[in-house]
Amino acid sequence: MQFDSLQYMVFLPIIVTLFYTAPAQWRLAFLLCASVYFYASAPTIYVLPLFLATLVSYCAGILIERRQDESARKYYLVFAIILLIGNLAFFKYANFAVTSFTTAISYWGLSVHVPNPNHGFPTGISFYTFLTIGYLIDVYRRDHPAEKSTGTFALYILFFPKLLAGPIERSKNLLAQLHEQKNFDYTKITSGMKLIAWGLFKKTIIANRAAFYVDTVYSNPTHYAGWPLIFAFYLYTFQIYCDFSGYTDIAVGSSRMMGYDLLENFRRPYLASSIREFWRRWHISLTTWLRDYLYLPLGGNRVIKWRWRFNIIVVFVLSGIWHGPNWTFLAWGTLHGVYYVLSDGMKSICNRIGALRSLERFHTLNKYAGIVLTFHFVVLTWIFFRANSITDALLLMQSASTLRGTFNNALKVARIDMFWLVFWLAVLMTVEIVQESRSFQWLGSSRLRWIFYYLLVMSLLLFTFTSTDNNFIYGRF
Amino acid sequence: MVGSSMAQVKVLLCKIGFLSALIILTCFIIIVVAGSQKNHYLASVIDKHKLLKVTQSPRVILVGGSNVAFGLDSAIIQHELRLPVVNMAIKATIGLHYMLEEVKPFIGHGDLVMVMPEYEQFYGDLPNGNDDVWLLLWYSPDGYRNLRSPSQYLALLKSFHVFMFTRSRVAWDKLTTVLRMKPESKPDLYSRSSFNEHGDFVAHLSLSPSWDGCFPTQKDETLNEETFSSLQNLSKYAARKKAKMVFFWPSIPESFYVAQKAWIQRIVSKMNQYPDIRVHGTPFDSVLPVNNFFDSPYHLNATARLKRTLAISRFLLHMDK
Repeated sequence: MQFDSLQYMVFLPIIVTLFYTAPAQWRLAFLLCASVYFYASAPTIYVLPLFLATLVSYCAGILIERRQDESARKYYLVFAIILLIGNLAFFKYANFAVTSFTTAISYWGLSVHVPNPNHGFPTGISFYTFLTIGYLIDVYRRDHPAEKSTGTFALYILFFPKLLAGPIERSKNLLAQLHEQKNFDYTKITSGMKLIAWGLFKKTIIANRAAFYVDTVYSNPTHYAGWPLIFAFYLYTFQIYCDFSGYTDIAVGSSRMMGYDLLENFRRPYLASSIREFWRRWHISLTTWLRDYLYLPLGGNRVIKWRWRFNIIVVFVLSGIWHGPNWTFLAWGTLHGVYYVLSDGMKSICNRIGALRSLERFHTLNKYAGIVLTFHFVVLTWIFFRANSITDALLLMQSASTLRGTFNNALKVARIDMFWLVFWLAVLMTVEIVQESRSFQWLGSSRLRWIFYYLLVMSLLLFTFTSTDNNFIYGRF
Repeated sequence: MVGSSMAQVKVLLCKIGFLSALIILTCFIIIVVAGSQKNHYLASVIDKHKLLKVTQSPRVILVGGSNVAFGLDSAIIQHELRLPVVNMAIKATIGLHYMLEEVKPFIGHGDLVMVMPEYEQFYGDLPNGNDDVWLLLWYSPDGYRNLRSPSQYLALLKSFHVFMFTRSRVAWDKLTTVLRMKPESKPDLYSRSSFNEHGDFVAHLSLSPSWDGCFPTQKDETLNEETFSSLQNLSKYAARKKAKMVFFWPSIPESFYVAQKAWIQRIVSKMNQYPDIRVHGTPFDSVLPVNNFFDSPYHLNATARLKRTLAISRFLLHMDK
């Protein structure tokens, strides 16, 4: 079930109503049933890895907690992580590994028949694998007790708002909340509804409309050159942001309507003034996961410089691979890692210049220049992320660099649609800039708020853009 | 829930109710301001229905999307078969289910129902229609009877926002014209007055082709089983009424056929599983050169229309001999 579908818009109010009217002791069981129903439309083969991950992490959590002997605890942890990673690797990366292997050996003139496990990606597998690994590490570190109730644990994994594409929850946050009794809370309900409306705005009005243009360009990399390509690069930058953050807003809003607060995943990332700041604002739940369970155990920044650089690159490469079995994701992650390391060196140079010249203005200028620079670097890396192959990405960049080309009719995008797209992007960025400079309650008077909500709902009614392929981008990971 | 919660629920419901009322009122105003465009392409449904009601059986009823409206000459068929012809075809986007249900109650003894849907009607959600159904219902309110399956209602609900968007654009155009911000627009080629007395679209016959040779890439790979069963049901229904239903493949350009051969072949294979549907020829038989098309890969120009009509009427004439 898609978050932006009519089915979900009917499903959610029913679930929320039944959740609050059900007796308190049945609420979690009811939510678990609703989550199973939500995932039930997936093919049976996709349910298997989810079931395995839930079972393995539940049992391993209890076993780790029961044992006092550190080496036994570590043994259970490592064994469970191997199973979970194996589960992810088999269902997500096996096809890629086989194809890459056969391609590589054919390069040397050899040919080996390796049966290709030709199954699709089970929806949300990367998200729930990281969720379960994080839980087990928390139990191992004694940061959180192992969950004894099978139902509560299953709900922690399957909770429908975050099952398909996160946020990647932490046991300290969601699992702890599942033990609390949730009563009807007017503020949370309305805040959840507002978030859902804003998420739908980003997804259905901006991301879907941008996808129409972007898909045309990226699926025919040899057809376009110059400005139409550059326009597509910028559009994809906004498409992926609106798609993923729109999804997250709907997920967080849905969960909040039932009283559960999910982790924050986005904080206006395109207003970041450095790549370091960008990663504190983009896909926060993944970044903090990688920080806590990979970067810090590797030594973090409490190591010598070259080792720190190595740690950073490893984290970003893994972040790229996490997105899927494609060299393009690897390239995307590596580019971010390299830029992160380089920008650290640049930062110290800039700070020295600022201190040397004692210019107050320099810092402001530096900040705005940083926003522009970071944004454009991100635009560039998204080309690799979106292209079908690295060859395509390089070809697109080469074709774009000609700075020729016109927005001809071949794109089949009406000028009025382009106008609306640019208009809605301006609305989005205005709201984000205002949010950045003030608190979330930036609409002071209730009248103004009502006008805003009215316009938001009317925009959703009139400008929602649908086509046959409007699935959430991160739903594929 | 405790008392304070109940009070909060009431406040919430009141606010949701108020916002919903405002939205419904705005939609109502938009629809009223947009009003009825008497010469709209879809308004031709009024004339077609009138024609279907007054034409006595036995007759030929042509059913399909715009490929039938643009691509056949009813006068020739009438002359060849010596039977009156009613061309009910308007547009593919009203959905095949709607088209078939529309003619079903009128099928009488000796009628010949010729169905020629676009290939897209066999995939995905198109057979259930899109926002054009809303407008069709506006012009022909009785049309709700043609909505039989839940999927049609779901498709209708899903497309409400598109309907509202097009209505708001019409309302905006009307307002700007009234306020003299914009000159009155010229009548569109795609209009009710472009159809002849049989229901054939004829305004394009004297115009030169404007199709650029591009056709959409078919993304939808899920065959719609309901399309086949709907066709089979109509065929059986026609047989019970002592009428006949014949299925024809639509005319498409060579380039389209070559690019989508596998996609079309899947329809053919599936169709073979429905022996009750009488199918004429193969998709390849209906393939025409690219220069035979007017403004889309389904709209024939005058020459091709004549060629196609003659071929079909000859087949119909000798069908049961």
